[in-house]
Amino acid sequence: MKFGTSYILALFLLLFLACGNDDDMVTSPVDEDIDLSNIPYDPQPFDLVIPDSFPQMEIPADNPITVAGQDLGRHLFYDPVLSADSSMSCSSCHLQNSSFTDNRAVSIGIDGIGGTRSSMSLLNIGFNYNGLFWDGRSLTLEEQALLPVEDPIELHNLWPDVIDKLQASDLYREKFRKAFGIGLASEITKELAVKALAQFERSIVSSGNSWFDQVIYGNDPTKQFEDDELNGFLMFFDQSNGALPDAECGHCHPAPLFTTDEYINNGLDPASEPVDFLDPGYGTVTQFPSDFGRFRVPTLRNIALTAPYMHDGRFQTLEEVVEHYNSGGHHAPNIDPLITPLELTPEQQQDLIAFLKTLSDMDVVENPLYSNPF
Amino acid sequence: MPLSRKVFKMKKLFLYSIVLFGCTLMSCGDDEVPVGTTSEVTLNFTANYGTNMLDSDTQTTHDFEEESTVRFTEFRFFISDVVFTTEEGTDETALIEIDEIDFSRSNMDAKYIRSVPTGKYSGIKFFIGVEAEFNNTKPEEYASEHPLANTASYWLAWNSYIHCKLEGFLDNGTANEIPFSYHTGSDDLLRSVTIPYNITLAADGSFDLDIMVDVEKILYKNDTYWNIEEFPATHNPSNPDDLNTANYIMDNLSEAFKIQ
Ligand code: HEC
Ligand code: HEC
Repeated sequence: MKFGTSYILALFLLLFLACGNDDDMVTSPVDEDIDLSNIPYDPQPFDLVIPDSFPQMEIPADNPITVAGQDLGRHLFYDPVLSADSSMSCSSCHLQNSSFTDNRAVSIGIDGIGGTRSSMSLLNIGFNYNGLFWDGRSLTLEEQALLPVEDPIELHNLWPDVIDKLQASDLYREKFRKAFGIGLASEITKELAVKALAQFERSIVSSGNSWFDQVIYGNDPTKQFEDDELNGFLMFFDQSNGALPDAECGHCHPAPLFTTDEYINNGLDPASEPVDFLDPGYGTVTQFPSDFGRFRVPTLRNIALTAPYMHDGRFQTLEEVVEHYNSGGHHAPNIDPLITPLELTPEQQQDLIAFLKTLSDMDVVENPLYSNPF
Repeated sequence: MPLSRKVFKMKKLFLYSIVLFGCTLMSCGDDEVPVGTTSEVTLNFTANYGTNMLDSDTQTTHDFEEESTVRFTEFRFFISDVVFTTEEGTDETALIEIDEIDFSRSNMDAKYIRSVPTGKYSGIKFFIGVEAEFNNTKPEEYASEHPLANTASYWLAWNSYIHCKLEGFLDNGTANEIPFSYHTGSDDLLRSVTIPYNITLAADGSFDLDIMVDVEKILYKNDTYWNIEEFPATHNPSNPDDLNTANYIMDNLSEAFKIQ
């Protein structure tokens, strides 16, 4: 839907522009404006390498990923110029080393105020089709990227101030020109800034080289799981043919992305009514009673790097997470029926964790295309 | 022949362009499309539990065996190769290749088909589940709007789409509700449904067919309710109990439809 709509809109826009009077489109340069047209504009498509086992990424037709656009997005992502006191950037809460989370239970913004939610991994975020954030309140990466800049418990800035700084910067004049072909410094806008951020975010894709990918999707028969990893794998996907208990994980965290992007109550808190949930999650967005206390299923790729866990960072370790699932969670009317006591022995719980660790992808964490350019 | 599958993704953009430019062309020139040969059809699927509306995803409970009650949190299934049949038994008219009926938000899910050839039909026929050719594909082959793109609808352990999901809770008076989760998949579990019904499609008209599925019938057969407590799930394809449950669910589901 999203993709289709934006594509059609873009086409209509083109048709419209082609028919309309072009005079409306010309902005006359203001005195202090800087002409950028002598800087070459030669957009090249970014070579997005997606593992074969993955779905195709749907990229909005009005924001294809280019080499210069991804590069601009990367600079903006790491640049504290986005925050009011120049102390923080997106990367402060989305660290490459931590698979783009911040290893805090809840994130802390420039004023030292903690939010109520844990930062989310941006790995494979371009494949999401079902809303962003834990509660789905944002639909596209372009729309999402507008928010942290002005969020009082994040970067606590104002876009006009950010844009003033970007327009005044030689570095950014050149990068916006190369990414979007603008002719004048005054054409640097927040809309273009978030487009570039979104291009950078879409470029953050699994390498396909995690141990899991090598064993399952690789063609090398010498690559086999260790016994504990194999047991964990079989339980995770209910594939042991009765030899081991089913852990049911794969229903909500299926390969290859290890998420369905659905909104689910996985039994974190007891509740007898929707209003009982401290954080209403998806319910805030839909207002549908049984959506209260539901959160988006997060990916488990690189899960060993992203502790603490859950939307509020309540679990410090994977041991605690597996213990939670093993217990069957807390009852609430909308708890998912798959969340039920699993009866895993301590050893089987360890096996499950050994399997989760096979999802670690150090190439993502080390890829220079995603690293701090400054 | 299914037109989607792998080509779907690649053709997507192209298709949009064609549709769009087609529209533009048609709105400019004189309408050359022959009129009077097709009709619009809407298939209104609704779900009941016995005589009550199925109120899935809420706390509404429905009577079950003796003192116990059930409530449903999810009920969805695929339909594929949906056709109108004719008296002669030949010349079936294709309506839908593949789609999903989802009652997890509402007890109604309507499917609209823009142009169906006019004429007399003797009923509707469809598979419940993902027919074999589509079932050979995987979610990653489809663009995200496609009904088969959802990875939640695919189950690796069977190499199959999940034809039907029925999930909920049984309350039989014990301390905790008992969750159940029936997911069925694999080509063997595909079931065919034929419902005879006289349908006449007039030119340029529209026709609504109301198809009701009774969820109670999925869990009740030969005067006996299904033993949810003993057989609460169907996740393991090689477990004979699970397979037996899955067959029970699909057999019953295929007999639970009627036209209202
Ligand atoms: C102060 C810490 C902080 C900063 C700074 C920050 N984020 Fe986040 N980010 C979070 C938290 C916390 C969440 C989850 C919030 C929620 O669900 O309510 C999040 C969620 C996201 C998501 C949604 C991921 C998903 O899976 O749905 C994206 C995308 C994102 N941030 C991008 C950015 C970008 C781009 C920037 C810079 C413009 C940025 N963030 C700056 C903390 C931060
Ligand atoms: C019914 C669906 C469902 C099942 C089954 C399920 N999960 Fe989850 N999982 C979720 C949801 C939803 C969340 C996010 C919940 C929240 O934060 O409120 C989650 C979160 C997690 C997290 C934390 C991720 C993060 O980034 O914070 C881990 C780890 C995890 N699950 C592992 C597992 C394992 C291991 C299993 C099997 C034992 C499993 N899950 C089974 C739905 C499920």
